[in-house]
Amino acid sequence: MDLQGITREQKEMGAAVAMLLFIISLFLKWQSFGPISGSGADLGSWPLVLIIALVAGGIVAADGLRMDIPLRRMNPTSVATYLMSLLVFYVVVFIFAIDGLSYGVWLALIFSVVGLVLTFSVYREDTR
Amino acid sequence: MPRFGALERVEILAAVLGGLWCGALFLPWFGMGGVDGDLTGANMIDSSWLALVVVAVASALLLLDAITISGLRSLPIPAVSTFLMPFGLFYTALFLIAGDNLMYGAWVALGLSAAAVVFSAMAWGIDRRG
Repeated sequence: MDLQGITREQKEMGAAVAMLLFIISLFLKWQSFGPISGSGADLGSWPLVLIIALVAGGIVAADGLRMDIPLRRMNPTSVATYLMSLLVFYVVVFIFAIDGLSYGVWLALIFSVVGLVLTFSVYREDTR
Repeated sequence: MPRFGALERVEILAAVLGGLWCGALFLPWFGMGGVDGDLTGANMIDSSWLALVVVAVASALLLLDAITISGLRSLPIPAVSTFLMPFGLFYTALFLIAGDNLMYGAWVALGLSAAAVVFSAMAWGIDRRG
């Protein structure tokens, strides 16, 4: 897929939407193993991940809307890229840990990777 | 005995702290109230090896950079390690938030991973300043 035809703002808004969808996917079914089923929000650590997704999505949305972001010495897209890489790591950790994976965890993986790719693409433009 | 500069000393310190974090994964993190023994950071979930590999790679890169393995300089080692090292802190934080009956291993891991992140970031800062 060629990301060069997409404007910076479109990439950032796309990444923000991906974060919103990632948050929704936390409440979908991640595990279905016989009588056991559970969502991403049944994992005790989900509030931390929710906050990370909100902050990352908020940063790219604000940057895409040309709002001032109070990060003095840091590039906002580098912070958002880093936070999204933590989300991908989180989902991968649980993909390897959970028996009976269900659709919610795959959606979470897709949305976190899409957000990361789009934000990383903006970060690469910034650092060129 | 080789003489290490400021960058190399900080890199070695961060690498040692990262290595100790890998060891802390095998300390008891959660008490099970005498049932089935205590849970270590490594046997809490099947994928603990992922965090172990990421932090071990970050630590190994820093150590190799500090003792100047030729050929590695094509990679910005302190920057790569500063990217990788917080994954250990993140992994520790996930289970600190999620777990009850925390034991000393979890707190040791938290301290070690936080210190490793700080020192690898310091190494990155020194490297950027040249």
